[in-house]
Amino acid sequence: MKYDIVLGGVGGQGILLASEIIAEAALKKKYKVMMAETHGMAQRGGSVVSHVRLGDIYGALVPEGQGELVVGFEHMEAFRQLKFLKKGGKIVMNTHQIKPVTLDTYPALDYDLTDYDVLQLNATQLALDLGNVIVMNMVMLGAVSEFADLPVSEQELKEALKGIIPPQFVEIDLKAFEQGAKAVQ
Amino acid sequence: MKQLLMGNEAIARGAVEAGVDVVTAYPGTPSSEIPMTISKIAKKYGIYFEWSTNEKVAYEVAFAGAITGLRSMVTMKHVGLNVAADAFMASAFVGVDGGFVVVSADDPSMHSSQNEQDNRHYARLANVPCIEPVSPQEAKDFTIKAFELSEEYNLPIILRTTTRVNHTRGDVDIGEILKLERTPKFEKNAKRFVTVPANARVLRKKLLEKMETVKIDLDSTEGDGSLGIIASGIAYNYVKETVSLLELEAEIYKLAVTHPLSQQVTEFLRRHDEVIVVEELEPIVECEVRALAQKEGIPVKIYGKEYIPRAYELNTTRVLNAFRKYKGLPEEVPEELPIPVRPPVLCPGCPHRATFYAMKKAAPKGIYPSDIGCYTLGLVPPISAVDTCFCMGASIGFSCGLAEFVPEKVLCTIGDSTFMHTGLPALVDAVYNQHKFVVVILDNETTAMTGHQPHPGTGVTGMGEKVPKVYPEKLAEAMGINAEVVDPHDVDLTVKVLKEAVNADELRVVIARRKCIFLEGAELGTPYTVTDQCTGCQLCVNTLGCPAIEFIDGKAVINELCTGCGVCAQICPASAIEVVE
Repeated sequence: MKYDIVLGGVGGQGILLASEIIAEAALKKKYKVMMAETHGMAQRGGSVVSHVRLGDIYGALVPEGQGELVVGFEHMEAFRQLKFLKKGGKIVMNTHQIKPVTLDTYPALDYDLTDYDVLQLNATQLALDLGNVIVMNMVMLGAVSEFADLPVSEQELKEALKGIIPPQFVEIDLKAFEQGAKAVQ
Repeated sequence: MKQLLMGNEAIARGAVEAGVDVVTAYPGTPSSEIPMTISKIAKKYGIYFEWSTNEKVAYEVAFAGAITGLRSMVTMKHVGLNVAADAFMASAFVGVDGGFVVVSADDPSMHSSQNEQDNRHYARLANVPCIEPVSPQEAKDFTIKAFELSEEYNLPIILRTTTRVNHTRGDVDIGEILKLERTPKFEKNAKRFVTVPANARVLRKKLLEKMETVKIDLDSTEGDGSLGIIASGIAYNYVKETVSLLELEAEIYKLAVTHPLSQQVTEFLRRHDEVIVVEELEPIVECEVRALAQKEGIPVKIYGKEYIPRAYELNTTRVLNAFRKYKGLPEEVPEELPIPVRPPVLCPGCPHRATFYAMKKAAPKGIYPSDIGCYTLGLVPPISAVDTCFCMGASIGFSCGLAEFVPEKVLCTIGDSTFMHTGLPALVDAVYNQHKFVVVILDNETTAMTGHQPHPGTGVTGMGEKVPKVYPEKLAEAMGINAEVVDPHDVDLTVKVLKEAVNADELRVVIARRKCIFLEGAELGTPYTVTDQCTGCQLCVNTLGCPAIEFIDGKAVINELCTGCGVCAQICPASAIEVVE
């Protein structure tokens, strides 16, 4: 068994944290875990990607066209990572758009997604409704937990979350997680 | 017990488990999390840790540890070893007493670097062993092994990693911590420690003899088949995946020791008709293996860079296609959607943005050499105030030449940490040789790009001790240079000071000092908003390139990213930008 996830977004959206929670939960279930991250110059508002691989895998990079799941924390960043997804794979996509300062207009993104199983939600709006845009990553994680077939359960993800997040943020983060899960139902 | 650790954390853990006494570093992606991890725990484990001013100094401090019998480690990115190369070469001649691990973190694909270089070459250049882990677990295990090997052969050992090892998280077994309790001792020995020609000639032969004895048992083989695949370092992961996906029948040689090659490699060549060497970047193992086959008279066909790309990082797709090509199968190129790039940019509220704006006002036709740091992002339009970026400290050294040879005004930018790193000797050259240009020190009181490490100008050490700050303006004044400190968020004043400096027709230093917005104690303001008075002139959008300013329906709009720096409000010709009430 293997399960490959590619998470893409914009530097500062908390992608690394969401990836770490999935990886920690899988480690607790005794899966072999590898996770590749973006650091350094690639941050500062640029595209960020993280690969999380569970099960019978070797390297940390998901081979193109082999991934089970793509999670896009920003609309066009979701499309950027599509090459990693296999046919029939799942996509969880935040429809919120952040225009790069180098572009005059946001791209149209009218690409065919019929080969995939897609969940679209405005996780940024859901986070703003909770009072803090910073919890968007946890909204996304909740949606992923409900929509994808992760080899770790909702409960296991929540436990991992509690182990990683500073105590003062656990309550709002769990609330955000719930909102994300509810958005799927 | 298993823990999820990043490769860099695993190296730090390995050093701690090996009983390391001394760790030194200058930060550099992808190596920085090794010393950052050590910095946090140094006191607890009785480790001496320092952020050194540059990699050469870091190397020398750690080397002093190693020749006084202490287990020592120095970490740096690949280009850091260029800076430390002089000390590195000498250390191979002199040898070590305590284990000495040199971590070289290479950056194939240049995720965060100015060049792509393969530091396995350095192992051959200096004649020291080089080992390469492929996973966080190996990163920890090989670090411990490197200390042992270094003490066995009295040589520095290169632990070569790549970004994909440094920044990969994986499960790692946590082990016991070795307690060595060594007492450092320097025993005078001029024949060894004073490398005058007469002594160096002897040391040179000794080094060659020493390397003849090195035998490191870390390689392994697996699988069966007439085809042999030598997978060097991280390439092993992609080879494993490829062999499984293409159902290839092959014997894989997992090469962990890239210098000196093990005797097992010769045996491996003997039992195959065809061997493909899969290695990232340069054909180093390939060339050695070809030479070996020729020397030993082994009739094996050897392939390498005919199939394996030489530029950029490998991955499973690239290795898969290399083997498809080898088998005469069509390559499969995954479809990539034409999504526009989203480059990194200066953060909203970054003080460098205002300094660049002021520089362009003060000398619109100037040439702007720059350096290595966040501020290199000043090259992105519409800021476009970075004309060169070569290597650490080059802004000043290059300007010394440029100002001498071209008629334009030269204003170079260099960060506070980079100035301490290698900017200083170049500034001395500028004074000595009477070069006329303006050095703008972008002083955000930290080493921001690599994760906010302290440096001599911050008054805090790697051990967390408070010490007197080294002020760049005092250094400049001591050299007899007119130096002025400005707050870049006072736009008019900064433009005025820079104009005076440009027109002075002499060497000037201007220090634009304001804390990076991510630092504790950074003065963030109240967010701004655009009023009805906005005429839609787009001056703010077209000059500042701030992610917090958008242009929607003919008007500027300030979004939630605004940190309240107020620079746009100061430059708005319609006075249409105000603090949010």
